[in-house]
Amino acid sequence: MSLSVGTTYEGRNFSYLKKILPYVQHIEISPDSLAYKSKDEVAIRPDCLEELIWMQQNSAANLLVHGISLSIGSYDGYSKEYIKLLDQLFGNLNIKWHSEHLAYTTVNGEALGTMLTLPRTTETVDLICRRVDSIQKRFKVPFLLENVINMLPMPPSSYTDAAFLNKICSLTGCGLILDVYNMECDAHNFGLNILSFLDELDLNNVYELHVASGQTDPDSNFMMDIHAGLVADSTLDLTGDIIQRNPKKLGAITFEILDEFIERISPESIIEELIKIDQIVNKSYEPANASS
Amino acid sequence: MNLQTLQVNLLNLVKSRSDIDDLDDAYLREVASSQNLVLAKKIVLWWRQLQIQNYCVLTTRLLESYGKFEKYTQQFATQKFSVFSEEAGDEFIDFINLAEDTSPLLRSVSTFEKALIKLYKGDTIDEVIPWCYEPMSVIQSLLDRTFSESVLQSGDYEVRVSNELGANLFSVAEINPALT
Repeated sequence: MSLSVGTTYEGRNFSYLKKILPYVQHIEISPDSLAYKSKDEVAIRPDCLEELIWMQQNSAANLLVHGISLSIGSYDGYSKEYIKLLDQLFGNLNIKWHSEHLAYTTVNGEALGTMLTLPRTTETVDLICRRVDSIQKRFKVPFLLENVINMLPMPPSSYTDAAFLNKICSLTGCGLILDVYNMECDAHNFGLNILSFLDELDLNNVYELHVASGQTDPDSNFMMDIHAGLVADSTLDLTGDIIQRNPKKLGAITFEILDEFIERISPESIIEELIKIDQIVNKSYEPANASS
Repeated sequence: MNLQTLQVNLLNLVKSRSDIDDLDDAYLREVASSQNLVLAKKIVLWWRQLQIQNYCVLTTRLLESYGKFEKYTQQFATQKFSVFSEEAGDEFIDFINLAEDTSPLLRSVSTFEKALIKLYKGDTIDEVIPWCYEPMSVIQSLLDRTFSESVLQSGDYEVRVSNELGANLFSVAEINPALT
């Protein structure tokens, strides 16, 4: 048994999906990028849904769902429209697990236009846990939360980064996606001590790792998590380090790439990257029960 | 500061609706004066521009050729827009159509493109859009990225976008050709 290696797919590029399928063990979709809204009704585009149904009928690749617009941390409630999209996906497809960023994208129903992290306070823990419980009752597959890069200075907090994640996981039983590149961004931008963070984090809650690249703003030297290219060696090295810590539930490594950059990089380069990631992560991977 | 106060204030800062002088809280003042906020606004703008470039190609290229893409998208990024990129794309087209300085050509191109997108989405549509320039040369030059003032041929035209036109999608008719 090895770690599943896969990548993201944003729909409407069926030839690309068919090209990469032989090289992945899972595909990660974002309901948001597959959705359309017409006459105030939000739904998954029929053509995208057909592509995914075809994929499940013609390939052994698992399907993972990774949301953007649930906005689980909005004080005024999370997105009911996003839940409708999940209902539609779960009603039509076999989904192994689903996830969302531990963040908020809307306030008072208005899109921020970006994603902001939450203050690590008791109020936030209570709010997130109630919502995670509700989501886990509705969808009977594991639900994961992902660490997001800090864009703004962190407000006064009661928990460390790792303690905040540990607390939410222990109270709800949800899992984590650990975004390796985001950790590097936080280390570069805000001085996150990655080793201390990993030492404190309960890695047994981690189901999935995200690897990606980004861009650095030339004016501020700020690293941004814009998934624009192939994965840097530093990110792959750190991924290997995390795998060697033997997280017990870890099952998947996802290479994230924005649709807009696929042709610039080329599908062939993405396939080479997937093969390279597979070789790296599965070389350092030891199944959790192998030593027992 | 509770979550509501924090999030509402950060929304107002990101959307440039308030600045440091409006704020008493030390943390919010720190954010308001930070380079991080400048960067956050830059990222919001970058995402909107990417979405709009992908959603309405003709409108974007016309705005770019007039050097107005940056200005319009900057203004749009401070507005209320949908989290769904397609809906936000439609909102952007509506936004530029309502702008006081929108030219008749920009209005024609963006309205035409919005109608085509609706058709592509499968909506039922039958819309006639007035043009004050010969439409085909404008559309072709935008697709080829060769648009300039030199392609503009004045006249009165109507472009019909309709499901009834089948695979043709749209038709062009010159109005009172003898008078032009």
